[in-house]
Amino acid sequence: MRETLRTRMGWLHAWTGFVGGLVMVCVFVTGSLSVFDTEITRWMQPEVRVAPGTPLTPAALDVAARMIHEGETHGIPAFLALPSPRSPTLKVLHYDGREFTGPQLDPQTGVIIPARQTAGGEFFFRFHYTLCMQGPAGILAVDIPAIGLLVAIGSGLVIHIRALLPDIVLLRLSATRLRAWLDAHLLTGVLFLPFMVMITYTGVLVHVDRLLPAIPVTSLWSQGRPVSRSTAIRPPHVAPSPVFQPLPPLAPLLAAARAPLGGREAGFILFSPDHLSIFASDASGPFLTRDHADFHLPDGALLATAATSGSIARSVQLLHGLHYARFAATGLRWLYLVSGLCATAVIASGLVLFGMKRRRDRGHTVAFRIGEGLTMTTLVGLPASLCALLWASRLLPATLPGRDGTEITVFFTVWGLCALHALTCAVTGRGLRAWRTQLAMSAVLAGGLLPLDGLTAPAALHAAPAIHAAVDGMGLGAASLALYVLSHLRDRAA
Amino acid sequence: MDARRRPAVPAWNRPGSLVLACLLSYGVAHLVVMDIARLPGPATGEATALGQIMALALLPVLIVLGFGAHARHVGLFVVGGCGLAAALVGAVLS
Repeated sequence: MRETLRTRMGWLHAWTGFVGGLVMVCVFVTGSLSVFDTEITRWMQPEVRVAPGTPLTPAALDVAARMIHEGETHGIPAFLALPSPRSPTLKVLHYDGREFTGPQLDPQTGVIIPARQTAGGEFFFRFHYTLCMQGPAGILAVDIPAIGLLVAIGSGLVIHIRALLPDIVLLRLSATRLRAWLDAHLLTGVLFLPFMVMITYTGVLVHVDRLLPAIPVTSLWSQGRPVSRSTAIRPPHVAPSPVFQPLPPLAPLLAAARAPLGGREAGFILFSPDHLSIFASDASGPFLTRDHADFHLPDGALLATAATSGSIARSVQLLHGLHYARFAATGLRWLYLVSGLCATAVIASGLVLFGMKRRRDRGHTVAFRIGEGLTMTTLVGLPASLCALLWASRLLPATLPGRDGTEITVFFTVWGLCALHALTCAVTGRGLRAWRTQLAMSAVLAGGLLPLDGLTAPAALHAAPAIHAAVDGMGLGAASLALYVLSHLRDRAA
Repeated sequence: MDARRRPAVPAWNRPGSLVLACLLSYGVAHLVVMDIARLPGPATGEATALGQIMALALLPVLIVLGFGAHARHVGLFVVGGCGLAAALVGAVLS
């Protein structure tokens, strides 16, 4: 085999694209859905029927302040997430070691809304950047394939640089299957190239400290060494328990914080023993800042304002803001979602092409069949298990203890079963049958979201029709796509 | 050298040179972060952030270059040269 730049880049593109792509499909699908994580949480909690724009009253803030003070005295630190146009409730949240959880209050009355515990859209977000793995391993498990994707994009550009412009208008669906898939891969790849590069680069940049820390590499290894005996026998330092000051009325503080925050809306409030900090909302602009105003407790006097300045810090905030898209209005978030799904389609078509190109020569080998099984698990099993999570959020009893954890268990169980089925069928030479079975199952689960929603929460449909129409409509779209692919596979089998 | 006259090279050396290109590129990117973090001028935190922004953009480019320019291992030598230069700059700055 002669080594030319093109063949070498082709090999690099294929293998980094395949190995990285298996992870990146999961990351892109859940990341695209995370753009609407708050709305998905509202779909999964049909008991929350507060209308958007419901004004926040001082009485509700006082109820929340009392709950937070009570929690602090019992050693449960919490923060207050303020209502926003996307999420109209007042939330008293604490971190339980895995996620932020806590009661939701009516912003007018301060009454606790009896909403079911759910993994919610937060699960999609967490899965997107850690694959639900604990610690830095999860972040690196996403970041390293993301670098692989950037390498695949770079090598793909080198391969196709001469035909980059013609590829934009070339789509030959009636040509051979391989050619049609390649055209689809190139067309979407070229059109969404800027988005893919931007979102992947800014995504890795969010946790770049893990990947490229500014400390010598040797000290990275020394950090993981076990502690020496002399360190281990040292008695632990016991900090005196802090005395939490009573909280003043929060409504005047919110009004007072507007000026120091440059007129921006407040997003959340953090509480310390002797002061509280009101943070600017992430939705107030494309810069994802942590600017905040600090107030002394218990008198509520303004202590200080922390606002980031400096061109480099602002650039980092902008890059983070572009990735999180929390500033974006509904239309722009839909554009993010569509672009994310099209980027997923680029990677997915690449995975399919990888298999098609090798099927003739290596289709009989176990390695190829395992690759096919993994591709199936990613492309069909993941959407099916995401739909199963939504089904679980509606079908599990609303008062079930540890309900959110059970939903996540359902998700991983369904995905694990899909993986087992796909790998077993692929290794035993029944890959096509497994594709058909899983596509049919995905179509049923996704298409069934609409009747499930209508039957289990008819009142919520009236309270937030746009959210329910969007989620159910996305389900119908996914089901239609699965049925379309299924019909093509049946034709092929015939 | 003309591509038609280029001798055939077995494909098995590709994973090896990819691993080497990745390791070298990561080393260079890390050195870039360290160098820029030591630059006089901006605050340490800001300089580190700038270094990470630049190194992250550089990393995939270096991997593609290190792996792609295979003739006489030019790519690996170029990446290695960048690393050497970054190490020298780091030695001067520290």
